[in-house]
Amino acid sequence: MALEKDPDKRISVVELLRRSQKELSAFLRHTSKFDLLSPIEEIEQLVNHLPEKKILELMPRTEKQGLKDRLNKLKVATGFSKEQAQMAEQLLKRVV
Amino acid sequence: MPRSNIHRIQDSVYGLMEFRDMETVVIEILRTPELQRLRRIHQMGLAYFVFPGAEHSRWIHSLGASYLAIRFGKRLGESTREFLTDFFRPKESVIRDFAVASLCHDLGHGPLSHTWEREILGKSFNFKKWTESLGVSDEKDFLKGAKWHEIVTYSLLKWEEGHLNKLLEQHESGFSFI
Repeated sequence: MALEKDPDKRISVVELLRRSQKELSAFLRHTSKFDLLSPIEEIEQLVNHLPEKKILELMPRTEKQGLKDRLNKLKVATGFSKEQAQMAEQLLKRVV
Repeated sequence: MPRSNIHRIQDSVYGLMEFRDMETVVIEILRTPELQRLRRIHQMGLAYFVFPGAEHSRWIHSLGASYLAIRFGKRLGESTREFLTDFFRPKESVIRDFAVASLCHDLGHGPLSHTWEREILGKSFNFKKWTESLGVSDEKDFLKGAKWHEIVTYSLLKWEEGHLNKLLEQHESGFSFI
């Protein structure tokens, strides 16, 4: 639709953005001050660098809860493959 | 009128050092007798006899280390904002804890710093006797291989009657220690 030659059939930029945000939110970077990475980038960093479970058990409760909330928010982003969704689930299990 | 929560200290190396909000715990800790003791310990042992500029103490060294820890933590947080997920970037509480750890890293130094360890105690100081007399013999496995001043640092941090331990206990709920 976005690559349609006929300008009348081609969807508008606004519509393209809306659809991308709805269907591919896992891959979109943000522009807010505190939230610059896409959900998939965040998940990948956490998979690669989050400490093992016994270290995470030492985390203060509030920080642990913050991480859980973040992971719950990330995993509902649309566009993840099955494997990627599983990664998010496994991370959540590690934090519990 | 609300008081601003900023403490400033003029330093000969870093100029006007500012400690804000959570960082002001550094100033509270500086006031404890355990830290004040370091004012009377030469950072460079006997070197001041031949190098007259080396008059500074372990206390000002520790304060400088703490200030640098804060600057480093903040810079690390800013410079990684665009490519590192928020969880891995240093939060305010982590920077504060890093600053407190830096402030206390030389807490147990004896008179004349390393000169004391090297020339008076010697490398083969009686580890068992010292850990027992400092009340930390239960942790001898953890302390194995530690230098004398590290053992004393540990015992001062653990000393329940001490001002420092009480202060840290008061703040503990807010400290992250990860």
